[in-house]
Amino acid sequence: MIILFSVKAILRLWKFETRRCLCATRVLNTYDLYALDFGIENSSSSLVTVGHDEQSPTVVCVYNASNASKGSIELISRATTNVSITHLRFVPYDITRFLSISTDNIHFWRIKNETDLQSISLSENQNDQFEYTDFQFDYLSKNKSNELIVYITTKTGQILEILYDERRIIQIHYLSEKMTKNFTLSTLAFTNHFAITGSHDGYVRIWSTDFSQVYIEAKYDQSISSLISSHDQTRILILTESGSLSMLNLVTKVHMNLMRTHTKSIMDIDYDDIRKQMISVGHDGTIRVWCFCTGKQLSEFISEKEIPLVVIYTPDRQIFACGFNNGKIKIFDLNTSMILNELK
Amino acid sequence: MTDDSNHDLALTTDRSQPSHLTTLLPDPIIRLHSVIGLNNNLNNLLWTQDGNYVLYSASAIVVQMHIETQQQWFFIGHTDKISAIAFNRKSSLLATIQTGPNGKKIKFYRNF
Repeated sequence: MIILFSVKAILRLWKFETRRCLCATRVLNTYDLYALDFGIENSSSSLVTVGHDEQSPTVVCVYNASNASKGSIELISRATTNVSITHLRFVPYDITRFLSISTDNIHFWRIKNETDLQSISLSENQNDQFEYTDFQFDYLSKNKSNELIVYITTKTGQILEILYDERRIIQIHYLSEKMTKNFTLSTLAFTNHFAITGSHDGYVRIWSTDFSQVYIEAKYDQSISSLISSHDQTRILILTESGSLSMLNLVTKVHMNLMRTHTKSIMDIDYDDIRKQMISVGHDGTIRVWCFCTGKQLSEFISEKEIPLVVIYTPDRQIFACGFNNGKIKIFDLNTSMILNELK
Repeated sequence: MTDDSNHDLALTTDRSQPSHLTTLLPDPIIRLHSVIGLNNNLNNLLWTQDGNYVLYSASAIVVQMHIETQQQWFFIGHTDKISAIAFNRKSSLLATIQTGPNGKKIKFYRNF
């Protein structure tokens, strides 16, 4: 039997300044690539990718990317493993070591003898009960010896502090005790002065680095899925599960929404060329009105039990009709946001 | 619509460095102006070093958006949903990966 894959596991490298693709590589015998990181050490750099192969275990590939700006990368090492991975990051300034986590495991990886990829898991005992959601590296600030610490967030609201070199948990911060029940941490970011957490309750919280104090709390419409701090550490980008991208300025405390999005397939759109507006309906059960000059969402209707499939304006663009998967047609008035009529 | 003829949007080739490849690609008749929406997955958000732009993927396109003006530029080339994006430390190189067929499009051929 011959098994042919329609190989689509492609890694691309781009020169940022020109937005030009320098190289595109098929990651061999892999499909569904889903994690990626760049590692830097002095003038060398590495890339690591994570995907699945035909039997679906995890495939980890490490590339030498030192000549990437000339358009060539070279596969150094490839390992197939049963370790599941959701997050993976290189150890800062080290292209031979990286760390991966998934809900139920933490793995320390290293490349030995230049090509041999090996991993060791965090010795399990007291941490059995935790489900991991995200991690970050940081250097222990109180300590002059510059020890590398891994901070890992959990589904039950703890942050584990792990001494990287000894692969040992040195402290557990129980943030859940300060919060409500079922407090789930989803993401973590660090600046020099703060630790920033995002959680399922929709809050972004800015903590002191020892997690003893909350300086800022900002509430968003849905669970927080990603946080990332700007390089000058003055602003953070916040992405929520509902697909809203926002920016919070830590200095001025000003919040700005940058974008909203449908979270599932879009089924239909109609547009109003005069007011430069557009209506879209999608499988996520929302009807959204957009300004198509700015890309901003102007309003949103949510239907919980039915899925809108088609949408059309009346010729005067004051009213629109929307057809749903259960056979209903609803007529909406844009000026009052009221449902004028319902047909079935 | 604003006139974006001066903005180098969505060019698949780099005109400043002519090569034999660029001549094979036709000029786009229509040019992508903006993209609404983004992929809501992990490792899909980046700041540029200068803090002026945010990068994210929207389906198979990487969008570079200016924070203040919200004008967009694009990295076009992927053929399926982009699953993660990463910068090198200087933000001079961007690496991107796309998801595959997710097992659904695997073809089986029996060879007798």
